[in-house]
Amino acid sequence: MHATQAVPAPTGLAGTLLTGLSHAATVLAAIGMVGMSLAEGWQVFARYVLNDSPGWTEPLTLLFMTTTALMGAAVAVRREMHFRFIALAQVAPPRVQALLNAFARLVVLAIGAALAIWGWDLMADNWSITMPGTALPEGLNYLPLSLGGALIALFAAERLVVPLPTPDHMVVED
Amino acid sequence: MDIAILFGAFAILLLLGVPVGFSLAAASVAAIVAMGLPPMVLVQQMTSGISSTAMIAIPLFIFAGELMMRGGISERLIGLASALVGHLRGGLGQVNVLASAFFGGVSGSAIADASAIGGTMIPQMVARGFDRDYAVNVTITSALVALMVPPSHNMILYSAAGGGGISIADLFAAGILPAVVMAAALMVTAYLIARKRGYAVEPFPGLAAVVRRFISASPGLLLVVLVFGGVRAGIFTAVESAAIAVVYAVIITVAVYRRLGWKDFKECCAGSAHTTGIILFMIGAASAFGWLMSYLQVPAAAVAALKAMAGTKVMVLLIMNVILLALSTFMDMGPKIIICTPIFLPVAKAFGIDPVQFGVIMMLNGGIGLITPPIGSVLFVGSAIGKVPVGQLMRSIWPFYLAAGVVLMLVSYIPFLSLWLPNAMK
Repeated sequence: MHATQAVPAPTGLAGTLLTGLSHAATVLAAIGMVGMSLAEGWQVFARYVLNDSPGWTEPLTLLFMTTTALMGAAVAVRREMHFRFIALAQVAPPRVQALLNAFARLVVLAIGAALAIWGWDLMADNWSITMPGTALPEGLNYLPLSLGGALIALFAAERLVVPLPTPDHMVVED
Repeated sequence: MDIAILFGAFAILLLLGVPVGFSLAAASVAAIVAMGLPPMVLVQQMTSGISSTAMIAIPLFIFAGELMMRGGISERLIGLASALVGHLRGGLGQVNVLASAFFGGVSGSAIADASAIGGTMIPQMVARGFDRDYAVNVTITSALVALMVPPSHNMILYSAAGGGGISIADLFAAGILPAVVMAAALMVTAYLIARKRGYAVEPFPGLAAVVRRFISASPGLLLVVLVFGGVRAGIFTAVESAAIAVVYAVIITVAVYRRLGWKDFKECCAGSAHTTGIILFMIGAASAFGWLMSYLQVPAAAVAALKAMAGTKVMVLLIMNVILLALSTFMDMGPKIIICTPIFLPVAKAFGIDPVQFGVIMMLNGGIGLITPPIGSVLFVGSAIGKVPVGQLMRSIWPFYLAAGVVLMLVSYIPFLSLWLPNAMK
């Protein structure tokens, strides 16, 4: 499921910025993965060894998990790794194929933008409430969705301008 | 009308090539707007779908599987399988099936299984004169076994989609016997094809080699015992067992096998984060879609329709299997489980089918979907590793489909296969 080819990017500042953002999203997703393992690992240790289950591990693990999920999903948009039905695109003439791919990227862009905006609104609405078990604001739970949505929209827009020549999921048909 | 918008938009977007998760999300938005609901519902339902306690086990098991895969466990499991069955007709084909069954117990994921075992076995098989299509077909069909052995994260997803009332420990136990039957069916199929194609036979390496390789592979195999035994005995939850699996995988691959360096670890983190992103995004979008289905009372309508169509348990199982198989061919496992469980589980219960047995049925037909075009993720992984076009694979895969289909029918109509072990362990 990993990228099998170099990911093309626009040239100049935009390209550097998008590549940097993609790396940052991967690092954040990886930190979320490790954080999730550590928090849940501590939960097991505290429960069985210290005989004292901490209340903060579960909300924190969930926050790490949403971060990993949305950052990972955004990078997967840039690499076009999300599963999709390609039969129609494969049999269509090249021009129609390009149109179908552009349409798919537009839908991804729209959903990303919607998640970014509505996620932000929900985060603002819930910011004053405290997350149970922690001193963190409840609204923080929606931050990964909003941030991930924005990245999804950005990377989908990038793919509209600089399409992947052969998406990962189509490599097998070469 | 709203139901037509929800399902119609999903089908059209999917056909036009929009990724599955985004098709689900966009169809949900279309229905939400048509119904006059606040659009925030999408974000709320997606967040609650992703951010649920039961889901924590999924990324952790993916991470543990990735660590084990890169940390040298797959080669040792292949070594053990090779010593046990490598001397049978179609030697490496048999090894492939058995190694998949072993590795399935470590990863619980069909894709990880196909990548880990296929990555090593397919080139070896090709180098020893096996045809590429045979090597890939054996690899991808035997990856189905991983869906049924603990720690299958799709079973955890099924338990959550079923409302959380279905015991994960029972589901883990229920899959073991069908997994054994599936592995046996695939080995027989691999044997028959190997005989027909005249593939070579390897010599038996001797009992000492079997023991040596068993000792070498045992730290990996112990993970299965740890996860399954711990959850079954009620010592820890599925989520806790997943965290233990990650810690155990790090210790084994770093300290015992000494194969996992810092660079590999970073790649494991990034790789499993990307996989988690793809899977959990689909699960989140499917949760919003599933919520809308419940809001529109689709499950109740499905129960009524299926009750009217099929008068008997035999018929309803057949109809459900046909529908689920059809859906599985263009929907990935996660969304299918989230969307279909609330629809079909009440039907299964209404006809006296045990939810645990139904879970195994869901795993099996979902697994067959993973190796069937147009959206067969395991099929694509195998095709990419083996460098064989999907079309060529399809021409020679049918005996394996037949074997998997027979096992699906056995599991559907013989409840003993999936219910004996969980009942015996109570």
